Amino acid sequence: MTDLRLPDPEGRAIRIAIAEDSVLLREGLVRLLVEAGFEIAGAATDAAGLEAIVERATPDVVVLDIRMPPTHTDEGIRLASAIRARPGRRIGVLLLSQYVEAAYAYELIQSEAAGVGYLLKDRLSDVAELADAIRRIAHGGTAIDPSLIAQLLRRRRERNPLDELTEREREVLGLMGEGRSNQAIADRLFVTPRTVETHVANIFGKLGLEPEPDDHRRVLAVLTWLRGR
Amino acid sequence: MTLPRPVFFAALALVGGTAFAIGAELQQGGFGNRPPVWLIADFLGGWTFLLTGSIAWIRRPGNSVGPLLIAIGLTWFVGTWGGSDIDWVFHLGRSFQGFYEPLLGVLVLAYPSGRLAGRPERLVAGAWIVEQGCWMVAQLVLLRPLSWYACQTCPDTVEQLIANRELLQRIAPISLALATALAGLVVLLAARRLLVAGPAGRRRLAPVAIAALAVLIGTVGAGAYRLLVHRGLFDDPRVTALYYVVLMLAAVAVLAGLLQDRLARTAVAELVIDLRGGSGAGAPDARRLRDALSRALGDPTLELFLVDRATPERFLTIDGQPVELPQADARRAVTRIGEGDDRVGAIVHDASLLDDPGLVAAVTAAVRLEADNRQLTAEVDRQMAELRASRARIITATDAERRRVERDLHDGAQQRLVALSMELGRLRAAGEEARDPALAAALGGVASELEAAIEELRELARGILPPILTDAGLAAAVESLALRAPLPVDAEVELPGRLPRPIESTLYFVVAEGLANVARHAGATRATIRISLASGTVRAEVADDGRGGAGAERGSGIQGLADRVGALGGTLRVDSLPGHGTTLSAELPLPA
Repeated sequence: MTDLRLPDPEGRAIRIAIAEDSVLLREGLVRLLVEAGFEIAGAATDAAGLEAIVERATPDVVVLDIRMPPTHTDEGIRLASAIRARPGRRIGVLLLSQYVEAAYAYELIQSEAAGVGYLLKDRLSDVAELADAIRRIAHGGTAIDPSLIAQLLRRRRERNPLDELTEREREVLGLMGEGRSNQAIADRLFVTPRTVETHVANIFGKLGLEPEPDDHRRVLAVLTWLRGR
Repeated sequence: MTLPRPVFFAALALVGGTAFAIGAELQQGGFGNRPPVWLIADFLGGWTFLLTGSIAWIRRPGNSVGPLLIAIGLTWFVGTWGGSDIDWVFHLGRSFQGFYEPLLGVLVLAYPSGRLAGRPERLVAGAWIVEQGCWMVAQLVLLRPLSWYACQTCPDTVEQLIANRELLQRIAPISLALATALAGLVVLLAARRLLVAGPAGRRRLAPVAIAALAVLIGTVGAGAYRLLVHRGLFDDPRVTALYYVVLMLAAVAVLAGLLQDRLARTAVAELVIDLRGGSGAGAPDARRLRDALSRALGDPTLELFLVDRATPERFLTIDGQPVELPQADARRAVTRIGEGDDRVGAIVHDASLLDDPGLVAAVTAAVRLEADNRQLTAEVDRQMAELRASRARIITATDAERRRVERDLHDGAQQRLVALSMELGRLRAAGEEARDPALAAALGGVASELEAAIEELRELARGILPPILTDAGLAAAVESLALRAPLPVDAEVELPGRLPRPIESTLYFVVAEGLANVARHAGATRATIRISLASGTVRAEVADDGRGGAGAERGSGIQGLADRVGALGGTLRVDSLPGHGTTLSAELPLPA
C-alpha cells in the first residue's frame, strides 16, 4: 500500500476543494483528507461557495455532495459539469452521494474529459481507498463506486456473455469498471501487470469489445457494455 | 263523471235522438210546411253539438266547453217541441226555443278555456242569458199557444191563445232588440280577440270565428232583419242552409280545437325529450331551448330570456345580451319560469296561449324540471371533480411527505452514520499504525456492522421515494429498478421528457410493485417494462413470462396502487392467464 503521506509525484500535495452542506461530514472530511496528506484549498457548504473557491484557489480536485442547497436535488451533477467545462487547467471531480445511480455514473463519464469519480459516501470509511480514488482522479483517471460495478456485474441477463468469463476475469473486469489501471489491478490481485494485460485481452475478446488505449475510455467501454443489453 | 265513457256517450245519443223524435212527432206546424230534408237538417244541427260535446267532455273532462256544447244540443232539441199541439209540451218547447243562442254566445266567449276570462265577456254573456230567461218567462206567462214573433204563418186560431196581445207586442221587439244587441257585442268581443291575437293565437281561435259567424247570422242577422225589414231572414232556405252548415262547422271546429290543445300537451312530453335528447354533455344552448319551447307551444314568435347567473336580477337574451324583460300587454304575455332562487328565465309569448294556462304551466314546469335536473347533474359533476381533485391532492401530499421523510433520513440519520463510519475509518487507520491487531479486528467488526446499517437505511430511504425519481425522472428511476431486479429485465421507456410529478411517482410505484411481484410469485425467467406515451395517455406495464393465473388480489400493494392510479383518473389492470405470464399495467391520462 502506498504511503498516503507521500507528496504527489509532481512534488507537491494534491489540493482539494470540498462542498458538503452537513457540518459533521464537511469537518470530518477536511480532517480526514488533511491527515491523508492532501492540501485543502477550501470547504464550502453549497455550490456557489465551491465555485468561489475554484475561482480563487484552482484546486486539483473538487470533492462534492450531489445533494446540496438550495434545492437538495442534483446540484452536484450540474456543478461537476460546469467545473469540468471550465477553460484552463483541468480540475478533477469526485462526487459523493448516499446513492449511486447508473444513469448519473454514465452521464458523468460519458463526456470526453477524464478525471471524474462517483463514490458512495460509505467509501469515506476507508481512508486508503478514498485517497487512492482522489489520486487517480487528480491524474485524469476514473473512480466508479464498486457497488455500482458489482450491481452491473450481478445483473442477470439472458445468454449472459459474462458467464463465459473466468472468476478472475470477472474480478479484473470489475476493477477496470471502477477505473483502476492495469498496475493497480496487478497490485490488488498480487499478479504481474503482464498477467493483467492477458486477462484484459481475453475479457475484451469474449465480450466483443475493442481494446481502448487509455483507462478512462476503457471505463466508458466497460460501463457502456455492462449497462447495455 | 264516473260513468264509463261509451255508456255515457250512448246515453246522450239516446236522449238527444229520443228528444228529437218526440219533438218531430209532436209538432204539426213548424216543420209541416217544409220538406222532410229540413227535419234531417234540424236533427243534424242539434246532433252535431251533442256528439262533439260528448267527445269534448270525455277527452277534456276538466273543460266546460264540452258540457256547454251538450247543453246547446239539448236545448236545441227541446226547442223542436214548440210545434206540438199538446199544451204543456208546446209551452216547454216554445219557451226553450232560441235558448241555444245565448249558450252559443257563451261558447264564443269562453272558448277554449271554458271560462269567461274578462269582465266584458262575463257581463255580456250574463246579460244575454238573463234577457233570454226573461223572454222565456214572458212567453210562459203571456202566450197561450203561439207567439207574434215566431209564427206569422200559423193559423189565426192560434192568436186566440195570446193572453195579453198588447203587452206581448210591446215586449217582443224590445226583447228582440236587446238580444240582437247583446249578440252583436258577443261578435264584437270575438272580433277583438281575433284582432289582438298573434298568428299562433289566431290559428287557435278559428273555432271562435266560426261560432261567432253563426251568432252573427242566426241572432244578429235574423234579429236585425225582423226589426228593420219586418221579415224573417230564414224565409230564404239558402240562408237557413248556410246557417246550419256554419253551426255544425262551429261545433266541429270547437271539438277539433280542443283536441288540438290536447295534442299540444303531448308537445310537453316531446319538449322534455327535446331538452334531454341529443345534447349529450352540457346544456342545450339557449337557441335550441327556445326552438323547443316554440314548437311545444305552437308559437313561432316566442322569445326566451334566461336569468343571468352572475346577477340573478338581470335577464339575458339567447345571444347572451343583457336585456330588460318586456312588459306584458294584450297581445304578448310574460311567463316566468321558476321562482326565487330557482329562477331559470322567462318566456314572452302570444297572450292567447294563456287561454289554456295548463299548457303554459306544463311547458314551463318541464323546463324547470330539466333545469333542476341539469343543476343536480352539474352539482354531482362538481362534487365528482372536487373528489377527483382532492384524491389527486392526497397523492401530491403523500409524495411530498415521502420526499420529506426521505430527506430527513438523508440529512439526519444517514449523514450521522456516514460521519460515524468516517471517524471509525480514522480510528482503524490509527489502530493499524499502532500495530494493535486485536483493536484493528474489533474495529473491523464494528465497521462491517455500521456498513450494513448504512446499506439498510439506504434501501429503506430508496423505498420511501428514490431521489433519482425526483431528480432525474421516471426513465432513470426505472433503469435503477431494473438493474437491481433479481432477474433479467428489459426496460423500454419511451418518454419525450419529464411527466407531472404525481404521474411519475405513481408509475414508478406500479413498476416497483410489478417487479417485486414478479420476483416473489411469478416463477418467471425474465420481465419487460414498457412505458410509452400515446394520445394524452401514459401507459406503463410490467410483463413476465411466469406461471400467470394470478388474481388481482396478488400482492397486498395492488389495491393501494389501484387507489393511487384511480386518484389520478387512471386504471390499473392485472392480466394473468394461467400459462401466459402476468402483466400489471397502468394507464393514466395526462393533464391537458
